[in-house]
Amino acid sequence: MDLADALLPISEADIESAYLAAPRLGIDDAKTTFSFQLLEKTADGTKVVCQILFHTDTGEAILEKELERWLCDNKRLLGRSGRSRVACRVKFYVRRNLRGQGFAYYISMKEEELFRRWGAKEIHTTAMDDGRWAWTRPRFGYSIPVAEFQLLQQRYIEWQRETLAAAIIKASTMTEFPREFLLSAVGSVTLFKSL
Amino acid sequence: MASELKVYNRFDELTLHVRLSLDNVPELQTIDGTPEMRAAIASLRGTDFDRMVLKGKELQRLTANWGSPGYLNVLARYFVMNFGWRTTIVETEKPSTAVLLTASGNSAPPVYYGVSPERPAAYTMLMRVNINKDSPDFQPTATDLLIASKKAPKAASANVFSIA
Repeated sequence: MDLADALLPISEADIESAYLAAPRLGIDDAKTTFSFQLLEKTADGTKVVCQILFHTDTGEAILEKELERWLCDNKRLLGRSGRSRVACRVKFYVRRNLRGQGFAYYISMKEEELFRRWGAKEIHTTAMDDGRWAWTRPRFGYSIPVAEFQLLQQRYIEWQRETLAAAIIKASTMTEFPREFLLSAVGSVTLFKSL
Repeated sequence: MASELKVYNRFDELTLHVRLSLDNVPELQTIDGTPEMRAAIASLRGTDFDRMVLKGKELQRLTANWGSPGYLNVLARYFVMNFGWRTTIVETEKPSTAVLLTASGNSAPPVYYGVSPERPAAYTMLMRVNINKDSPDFQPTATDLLIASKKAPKAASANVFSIA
């Protein structure tokens, strides 16, 4: 199998076009670089690793590290049983001074369309740092796997006891976890989105 | 063959006590636990474990086949790393064969895997991960890396998008 086969029914050109960025942020598409790797027989089946770097027209990097995505053709699903095509958002660190300008949301929506066209049944990501709050906001459409949500419920109850909360509340949905809890009491949050 | 895992919260209270038996069909029995932990274990039952957690500034991938001898070790490690809980594991018959492999390299999440003596091939594959330090992920053989192409910056594009 070669890279083109692994990407079917999309192509490298489709991926590149999905990441043409928003000029309002000063991104120069001509300076955007792409790197592709094909790995066979991984634990997640055949896997395409995409790494992308964005720059401003003055050559300044937009991201702290390269944006990294995996297209896995046989990864375990988190929202239901079985294995299928899954797109993984591995790294996406927008530089602090460029956050809050719609870049993350813009790219997320563009690549989601790409993942759907490729045939992904789910998108997976691990939210860390500020992402523990940002990526769990409803507008991104993620869910937490059931078992992990129950572990978070347990941890949230403890956290309220630690912080001497007046009343102990059991969260019934992801959005009920307060920002302070997510950013201080949990290392990372596993998220998935069914497509 | 069986092992038991106990999980304690920040107040050193026991929140979960499970027993994994590996006689014929793997069985994970909850002996004690809070409702949330009992529910979490019930949701995990029957599926391979696969989670990424943050270790320092790097992602670390924790995986274990359902019911493998190292399953509880991986689960315990996840509880410790992601939630700060304290865990103890008691091997009631045979010692666990779980191993920790740390693959170095910037984009390579090290793989922690419960290795079964019944699956020696898995052990071989994981050892290769450790050898191939440039691998961005688990690779059974170094020669499976087929394409690694770097592209020059694209030509200027006329496409223009606005921010949503």
